[in-house]
Amino acid sequence: MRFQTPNVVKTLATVLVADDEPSMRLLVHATIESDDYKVLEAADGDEAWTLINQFKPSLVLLDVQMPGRTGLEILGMIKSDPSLAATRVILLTAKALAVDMEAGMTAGADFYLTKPFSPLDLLTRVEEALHQ
Amino acid sequence: MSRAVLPVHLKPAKRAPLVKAPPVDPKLLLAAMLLESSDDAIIGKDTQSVITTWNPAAQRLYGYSAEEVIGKNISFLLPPDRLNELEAVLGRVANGAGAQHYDTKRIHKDGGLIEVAMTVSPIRDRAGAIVGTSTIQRNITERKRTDTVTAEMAAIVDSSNDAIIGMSLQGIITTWNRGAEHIYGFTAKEMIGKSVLHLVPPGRPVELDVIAGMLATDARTESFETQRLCKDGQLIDVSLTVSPIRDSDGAIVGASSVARDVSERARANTVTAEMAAIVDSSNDAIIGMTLEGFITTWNRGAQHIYGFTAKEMVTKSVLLLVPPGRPVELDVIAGMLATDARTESFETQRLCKDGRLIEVSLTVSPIRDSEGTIVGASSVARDVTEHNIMSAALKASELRSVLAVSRAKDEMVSLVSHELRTPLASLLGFTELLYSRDLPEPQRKQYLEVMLREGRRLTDLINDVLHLQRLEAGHQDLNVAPADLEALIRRAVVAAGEDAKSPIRIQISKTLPLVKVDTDAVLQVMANFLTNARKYSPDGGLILVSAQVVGDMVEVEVQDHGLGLPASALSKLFATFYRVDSTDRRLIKGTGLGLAINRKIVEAHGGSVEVHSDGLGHGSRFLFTLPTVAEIPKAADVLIVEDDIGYARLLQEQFVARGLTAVRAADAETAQRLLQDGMKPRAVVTDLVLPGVQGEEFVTRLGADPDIAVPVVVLTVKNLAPAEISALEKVGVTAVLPKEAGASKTAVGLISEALAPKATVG
Repeated sequence: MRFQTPNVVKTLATVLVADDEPSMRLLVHATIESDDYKVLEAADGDEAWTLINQFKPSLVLLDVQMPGRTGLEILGMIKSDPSLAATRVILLTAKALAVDMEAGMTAGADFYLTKPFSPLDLLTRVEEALHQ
Repeated sequence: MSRAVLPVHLKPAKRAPLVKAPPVDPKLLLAAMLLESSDDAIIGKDTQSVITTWNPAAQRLYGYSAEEVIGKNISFLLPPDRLNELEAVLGRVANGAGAQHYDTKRIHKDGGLIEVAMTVSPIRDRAGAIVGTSTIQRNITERKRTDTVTAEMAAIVDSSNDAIIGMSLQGIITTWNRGAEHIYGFTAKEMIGKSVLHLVPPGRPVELDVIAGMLATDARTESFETQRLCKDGQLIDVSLTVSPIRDSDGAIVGASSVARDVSERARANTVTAEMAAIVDSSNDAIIGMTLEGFITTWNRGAQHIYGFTAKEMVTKSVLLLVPPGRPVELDVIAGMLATDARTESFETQRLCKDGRLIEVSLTVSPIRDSEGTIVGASSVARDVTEHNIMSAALKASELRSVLAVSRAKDEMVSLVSHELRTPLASLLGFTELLYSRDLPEPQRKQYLEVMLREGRRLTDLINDVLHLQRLEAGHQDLNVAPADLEALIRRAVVAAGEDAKSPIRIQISKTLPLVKVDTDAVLQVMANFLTNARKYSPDGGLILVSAQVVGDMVEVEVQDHGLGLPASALSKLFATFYRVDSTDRRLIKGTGLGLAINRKIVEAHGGSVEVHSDGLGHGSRFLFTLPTVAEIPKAADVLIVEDDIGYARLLQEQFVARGLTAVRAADAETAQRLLQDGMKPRAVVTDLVLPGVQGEEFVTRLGADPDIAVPVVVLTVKNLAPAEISALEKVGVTAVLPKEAGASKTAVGLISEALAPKATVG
């Protein structure tokens, strides 16, 4: 029998993965899957926004180029919504130019990872973002 | 749960026993009256978007009566591209975001689109739970149109070269456009609020007096020439058009004045500026000189041709440019005066800064002052040195093509690197996961499957990109030859394979003329269209291939009954990496290059591609055209039936070397069509292994045709048994040669011998 005092009961952090490529969602999901997180998936920007509003995830992993709303648009909407102030955002994108990265960081992303990325690197970033 | 449904119509109170009249909630009564009398459409819906309330203004806005719509889902009012708007708004309302205001479009009963301003608020029951929404809607179609028109008019006024000003009835300037600033010299800031009298010289008519006069005569506008005063004190001649400004009730509230500068100064300025620009931008060396030969003007062309700058040459003598013994411009002028010629052109030589002598075509004209006295000469020299002309033209065209190619390459590189990153991310990512984690077998397998799929996708992508690149750079040479298109289409359909879910049917009613194509390239085009037709018909459906003659082209159509295309996608569909985005095709893989490749191939043939679709869910029709063979090469000596283009070329070249003409058919079907259409070869060389009808069948048919009694040579890689050889000989084959080193030479030798004039043989 294990006993836990009420104040250290772990609340499961919710992480949303938004990417229109099924293989990318699988990869990211597989990378971060653990007992500590509940992972949700969205296949486009609009679905992502619906799920973000519904679940107020702790972290959103956003593909920049998605059908519907783009990752940058979603990022802007998260940043301007006070009820999502605690939501961290990591951008995952195939746009590898410095200007793209700057646009992402200016818009308020916590991290910016370029495809292809290392899953272990991603995992580190996810943990950093969640424990900020 | 109670439904908060407001009464739809306030029916006239029925005569009922007064004693039994139920108490009426005054709030409800007020609400009902507001609903009834509102100018805005008020529509109530339940949480499922079913209409519960529809007031008379809603009927006026949409054309539907309450009876027609109550109980129906509101979605029939929404244009197809706005269907998800409903959900989004409902979501926001449900989230407690309160009333939502936005402008959108809706469909009227008559089918027309109307612009509406919406206010959506939640309807709550007594407990505060949301049981529906109420929408207040106002038609803003007219307002939108007026806004656009007003903005357009303002832009037109502002960009006009004419001075357009507006003034009140007291002559106070209210608007002042850029043209006014340019013509009068005053800025809008300086003039707005000032009296228009600032611009009117004494004794000239004032706009407002003109208006008064117009009212007396009922004229709508008045134009006349007058003078106006500029900021710099100059008087300018203007053509003035005055019109009254009326308010919406028709009352005159001011005047507008449109002035065009018609002064000599304006005209002269314009002409001089234009002339100077023409002279300066000319590629010819244009120079002006005094009667003494001192240079006064020197254009950029002169700098380019002679190498001297204007600074170096103006005030210098023109003799610096004249090699010894060559005519000087001024002597030419003197000669011209003697003969009364206006200009004189001749070829001569001139000396450049770097000491080079160049050949120029020189045109000399006298320069006269306003009285007609000759005050100098102009000399226009065109560099006609062969080398210069050639190199300049070459450089320009080379530069253009280099720039175009490099631009296309840049675009390609940025697109490609982006497209490659996603499959690469899968490959590398899963590799790292497999390498760093101990995974259960089913998971390992799943990841490996993804890797295999993404690896294949990467390969397809690279192949397509390379192919497209070759096509774009024009490196892909087309091996164009006459071809039987129907046979090609049948072959492509066979290659596409059977699929009971989406069978392919060919519908060609009339015999098609031969087309002039590269058969391999056309097969690829067909394969791409057929693959797409199946790929984008996930629920199956018949695929119909048809072809017909249109002018001097054959138009092929591939029609499917699949997902179809939105109108917005049609114009972009053939662009590199363009892919239509919709939820039902997210899972369909593609590189976004197939149609771009098809377009390039078809266009390289001189044809064009087209796509039609009646929208999502209505299938698509892809059309492409290919050129028909203008004239059957009837007089050719030898018909070569060979699908291997390299080998066919080898034969062709050897025949040509012997003075014989040869025509290639890439398959037996084409060869048969050539013969049917009147080609009369004097000999035939054929392969046995051919794409469609086989060589054996072809030579058998040849042998059975009494009109074609010519030598037939078979060249084949097949290892034929003696019985097979004698069977071929029996149907009329002259010789059967194994395709080995020297075989082509033997075949060509045999045929040219057979075709040699008998006289020389004896």
